[in-house]
Amino acid sequence: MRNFWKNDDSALLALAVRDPAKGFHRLMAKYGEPVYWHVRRLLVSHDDAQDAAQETFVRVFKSLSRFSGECSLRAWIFKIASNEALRILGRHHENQVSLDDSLSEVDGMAADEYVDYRDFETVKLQQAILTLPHKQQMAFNLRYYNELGYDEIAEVIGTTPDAVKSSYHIAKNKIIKYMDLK
Amino acid sequence: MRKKEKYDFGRVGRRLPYTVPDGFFETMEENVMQELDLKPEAASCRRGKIVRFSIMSLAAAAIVIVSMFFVGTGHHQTRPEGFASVAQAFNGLSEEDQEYLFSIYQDDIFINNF
Repeated sequence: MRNFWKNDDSALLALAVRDPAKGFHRLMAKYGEPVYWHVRRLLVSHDDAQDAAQETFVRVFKSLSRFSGECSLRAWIFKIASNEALRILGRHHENQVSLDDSLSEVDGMAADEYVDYRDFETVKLQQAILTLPHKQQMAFNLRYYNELGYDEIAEVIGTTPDAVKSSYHIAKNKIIKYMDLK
Repeated sequence: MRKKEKYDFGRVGRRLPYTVPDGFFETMEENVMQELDLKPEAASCRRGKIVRFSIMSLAAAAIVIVSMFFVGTGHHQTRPEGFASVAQAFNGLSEEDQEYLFSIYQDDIFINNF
């Protein structure tokens, strides 16, 4: 009997090859929300996150035949999503005069209509994360929110697992300092 | 002097202050499928599959109950285990129906943790 309880990306990929519409629907059902929230945490703006997430899946579909399995499907998708988010962030930074780029997303939180300011502590935590360099943000977010292993995060960011572990702990300590001080 | 306690991440957990418009994720999928020129699953098709799935689930449950009935009345046939009888029912389904059941459980949020 087929084990239909198993969550298998290999089966998902095979389905996407056999029946692109059905396979891609399954892929989006599995990864749509996690990808969206990953880029949203980096970009803050819902509109930017929507653009990044949608573009991610367009690129994933168009590159699916070139996916060689050198990393997990999840890491590959998150890598594409992270690059999309960084591309949008780069576009914003080109347009702004401020010398302190990492704080522009903190300001962006104040400007976005899809933020619940009543949850003060979560707002403050996101502000703390947004003060970090982007790679530290990604290392922290992927570990803390998505519970990815250091190996997988390293594949997403393009570094070594040891570097990710170091980034994560540095990020965590900075966040703790920020939350304790303010 | 009492040492100040470090911030406890458990106070927030994985909560985020960010929200999305109603129906956003369905719209996002439709937008992507449209851009890729892929046909999304129609709502009526999904409803039909839900009805079919319900009927198949009832059929599988009925097979289990009937099997248990034969054991209870002293019928001396070898009784398959409950799960095995479901497996027999499953193998009797068409490939398309098997595929659909596979997809339902693959998407189930209680079974599959991301």
